[in-house]
Amino acid sequence: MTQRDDNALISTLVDDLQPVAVRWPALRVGAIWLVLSVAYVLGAMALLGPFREGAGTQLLTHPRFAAEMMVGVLAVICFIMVAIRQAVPGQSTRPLQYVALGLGAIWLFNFVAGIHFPTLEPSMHGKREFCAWESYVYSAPPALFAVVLLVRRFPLQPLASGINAGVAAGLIPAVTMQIACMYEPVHILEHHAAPIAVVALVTGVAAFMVNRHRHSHTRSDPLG
Amino acid sequence: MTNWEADEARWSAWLVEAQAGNAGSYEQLLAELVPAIRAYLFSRFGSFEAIDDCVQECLLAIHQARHTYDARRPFRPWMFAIVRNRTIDVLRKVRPAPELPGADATTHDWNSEIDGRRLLEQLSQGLRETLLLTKLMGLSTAECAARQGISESLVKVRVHRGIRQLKSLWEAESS
Repeated sequence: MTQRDDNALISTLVDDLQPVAVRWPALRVGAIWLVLSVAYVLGAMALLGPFREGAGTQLLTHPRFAAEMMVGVLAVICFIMVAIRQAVPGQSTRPLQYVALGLGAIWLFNFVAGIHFPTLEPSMHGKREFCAWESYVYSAPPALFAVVLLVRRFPLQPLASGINAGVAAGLIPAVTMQIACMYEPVHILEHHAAPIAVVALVTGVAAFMVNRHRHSHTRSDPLG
Repeated sequence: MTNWEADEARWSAWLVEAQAGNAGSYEQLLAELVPAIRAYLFSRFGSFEAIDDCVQECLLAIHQARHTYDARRPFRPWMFAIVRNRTIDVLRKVRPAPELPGADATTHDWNSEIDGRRLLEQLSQGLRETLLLTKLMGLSTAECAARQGISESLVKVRVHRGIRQLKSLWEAESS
């Protein structure tokens, strides 16, 4: 490579220059993703089965139950914000990543502790027959939407960004299932929380592959 | 206004104009970024074979990522995040040369090459020497193994660990 190669590359890039629309700030994009995803999950969940009777009252009368719902919602917000910020070069994500992981761990640990000290009286009341499969159905569109949002930016670590987005997408139905399905900690861990790991992994790999495909041509043939 | 601040303001303004399609500003920006990126890499790695590949990969990535720059944010963190990421990618992909680069390669004091390479200085001696020999000087895995008196598998492990540590150190330095 020489000075002439640098100049040739610069000329090629300048010739390729088109006006571009600057992407919206991460906060706005995250808010749009959250509103649309939650609306979809609530709507689809209502179509496929009733919410647990008395869940609203339990939220008002059991502070720990309300708190675990709140921690779950905050974790969703933090994970999707980390994912979107990671897709913009130079944006700091580490502190928010720690907060997201901390909230996720608290949310999960609450159910592990709940095996011995349950938040609500464990019961089969409100059980949805295929809640685990439903969780995948509910997570898929938000996860796909997140992948599109991520790769339209410039994720330097697409796998990590995708995993964070996948956790957020998987958490929405998991948290919602707390008011839609039966409340029993082991059931929650096995049928509502476990799908989050699968959704996160698949979303991470999808973001990685789509991002690589999107940039493969230009990178393999810089002067072509 | 210092030179540092003037560069920052100028580059930011040029990129904003380039986002609107101004080719003249874009050409000036890229022309100024080439020496800036090269100096940045040189200060961390010294002179190495793939430095020109790194610079070109960085320019390409900046071109692809130009829509993500937000004028309300500083320019340098945006640009150097791209530079760090692309450089690590290039180092991972560097293929060793088929033969030793020079007749005196086996007797050369490789540790003397470390001077001025402040990122490499922070690695342990084994990782540093392995990275230097394979990624920066272009020796093959077998040649590096023979030079260091270790197995080829260990060379591969050290290269993998070395790049991972280099990436962490670089990210920590920039944050």
